[in-house]
Amino acid sequence: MGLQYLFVINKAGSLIFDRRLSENAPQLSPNDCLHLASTFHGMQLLVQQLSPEPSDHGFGIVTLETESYVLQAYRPETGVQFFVTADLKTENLAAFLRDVYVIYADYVMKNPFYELDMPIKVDRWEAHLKRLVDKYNNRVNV
Amino acid sequence: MAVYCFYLFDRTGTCLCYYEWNRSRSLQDASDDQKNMFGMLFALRNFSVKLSPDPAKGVPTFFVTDVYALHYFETPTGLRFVLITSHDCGSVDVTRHLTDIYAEVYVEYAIKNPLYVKGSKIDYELFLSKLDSYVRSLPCF
Amino acid sequence: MSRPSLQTVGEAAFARCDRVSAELLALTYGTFVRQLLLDYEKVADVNAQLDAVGCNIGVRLVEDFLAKSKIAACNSFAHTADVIAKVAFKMFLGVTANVTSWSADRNTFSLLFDDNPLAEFTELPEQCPDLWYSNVLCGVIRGALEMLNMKVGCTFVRCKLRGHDTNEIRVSLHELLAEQPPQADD
Repeated sequence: MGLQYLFVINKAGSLIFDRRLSENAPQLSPNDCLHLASTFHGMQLLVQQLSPEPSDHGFGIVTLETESYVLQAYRPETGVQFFVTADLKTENLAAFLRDVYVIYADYVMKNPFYELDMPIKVDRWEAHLKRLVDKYNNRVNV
Repeated sequence: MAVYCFYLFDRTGTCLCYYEWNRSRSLQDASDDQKNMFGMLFALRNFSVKLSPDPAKGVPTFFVTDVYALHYFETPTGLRFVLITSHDCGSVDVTRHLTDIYAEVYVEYAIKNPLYVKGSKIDYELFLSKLDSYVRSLPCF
Repeated sequence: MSRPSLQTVGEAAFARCDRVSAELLALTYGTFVRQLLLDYEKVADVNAQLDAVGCNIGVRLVEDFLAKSKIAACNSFAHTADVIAKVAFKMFLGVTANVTSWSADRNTFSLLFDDNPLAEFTELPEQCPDLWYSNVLCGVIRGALEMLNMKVGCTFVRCKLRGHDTNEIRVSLHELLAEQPPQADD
């Protein structure tokens, strides 16, 4: 049980961060990740357009389920998007993504040397993220 | 809880059936909407399978947005059954109903109808009324 | 819980199906073949027509098969062969076939079956020694597999009506058709 893959996409739809979080997750090449991120971004726009009911927030997919994994997505108002895949029946994914957003706001956005919308290469972000992932996986496995 | 609409596509992207029960946003252009829906489903399916630890089980069963839920079932012959409901109905149980629609409505009233040309729009009263009554009988309707 | 064998799946699916009289099926099919022989003088043409008719049946029958048997997609051509022999044959003909004689490249196999409900009371006359009486079955298999993105060749090689010891259909995979992306309208 647990988290599999995390992606962070900027508001233009480009991949700025991806991380394989488990041995269960598929092996994806850097090109695969770039392609998945831009597909996801385009798909979210289409999903909103196809809505049969008017929407206040204009969000796109929040949760996606398949026979082998679930995907949870989160998009704050600024337009950056986070999505994570996890084993079926993993709980609290929405809370996990909000916690990821908090770390992003602290160690990426508040880092004066991070260039906006560029790929994230910040050690403190990675360290805090790893701690958060371990905490979630342990909580799930306990 | 509500069911909004239903789409059935074949593997070439032809919309064999579109049925609506409740939909506040009226369609400007039905054929555009259907093309966009098929395109989105095609992209979604490939995206979903790529991310799956087991590609054989990577096909999406449903997704939920803030407003609606889309349930998806595809057959090995390339037929895609789609049911759009309100977002509180999002569950794999509703996707299972799509397999029943395949077996009990499509196979019985379209495939076994010798006058129906495969790959064309299904315009038969009997098929549409069976589809309608089946969906109306669902708990999420 | 162990997965049920294909044999069990086939028997369960057969039990769920509606029954029709075997005599009615044999007589209807027989009359149909006789009429084709009158319409097309050459036996080779009759064989081709039976195959074409079978193909039209197969493209529809495959949906009924998938819906009623609830079999998931096959992961190999060998698995496909087993499903045809143990589940499809059982469901639609009430008989099971055996899969044998695999080619070295694993792309060709034979289906062997003794009983054939289409030909239960039939005896071939001397005038049509080259007729494959049940050739409709080859068309059904070909049409059904085409709907599943497999292009196959399917022919009879032995038929009890022709004096052989058993019935044998040889199935050969020609190509796997790829899924086409939707056409862009630009």
